[in-house]
Amino acid sequence: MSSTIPGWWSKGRAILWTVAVLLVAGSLYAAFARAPVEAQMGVVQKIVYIHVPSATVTLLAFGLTFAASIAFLATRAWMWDAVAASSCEVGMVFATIVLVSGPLWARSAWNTWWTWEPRLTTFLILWLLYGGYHVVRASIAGGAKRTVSAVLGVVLFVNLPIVWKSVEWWRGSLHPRAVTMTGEMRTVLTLSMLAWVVFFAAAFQERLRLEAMRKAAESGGAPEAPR
Amino acid sequence: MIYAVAAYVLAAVIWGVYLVSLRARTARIAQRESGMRR
Repeated sequence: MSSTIPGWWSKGRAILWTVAVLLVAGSLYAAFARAPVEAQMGVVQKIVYIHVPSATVTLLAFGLTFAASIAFLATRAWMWDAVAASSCEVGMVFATIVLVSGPLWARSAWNTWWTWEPRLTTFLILWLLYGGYHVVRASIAGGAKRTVSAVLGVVLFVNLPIVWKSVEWWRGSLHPRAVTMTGEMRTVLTLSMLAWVVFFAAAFQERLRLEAMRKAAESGGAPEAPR
Repeated sequence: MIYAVAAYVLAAVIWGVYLVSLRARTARIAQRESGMRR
């Protein structure tokens, strides 16, 4: 794959960002103005429209890191390493939002900021381990960086099904096994999911562009100036 | 209400900080490159 930035990328990123921002704005409006207030929890339940999509996108992002890491180990193409690292970094932002929004909801719903129940504990471990991915990646110079990162990207994936299944595998979970919604709540949650997936795509391509510019700088190419 | 608003505001702050840091890193590479070409 080429290390220089193709022209269509620059044109496409403006469109992607516009769509992402409009969708997120629309989902925020829908969450606060259209979705009905939940009868038992009240307004605080509206955190669901950012908490659940962020958790879902986190798993998608780390899943993409896993797939790209395997592709890198198989092909040794720099682009797959760039995809894995970019996806992992943006996934960490979503994971941080999950860990920030969760306690705010828990304080109101469970009367505690934090409890060591299975889903919270496994998700915190996931966040720490993927944070470690970046620490390790930043601490290695030279060609070994990409290989070590790819191995970590594969190994750390083991945690994803553990987080996903934690509510079924361990007793004492306060999280529901599944989120069941109907009517307008469901529509707004679906819109929020779509909005944050598109926002992930926009942030991911932005981070990938940084990797492409780094690669171009390393190989003496001519990256375009950021706009 | 305060918790719901706080969750969204904190999410916006986290995204803001991340996107600014991303833009700064991108600008730094472009600046370094333009300096090397001169």
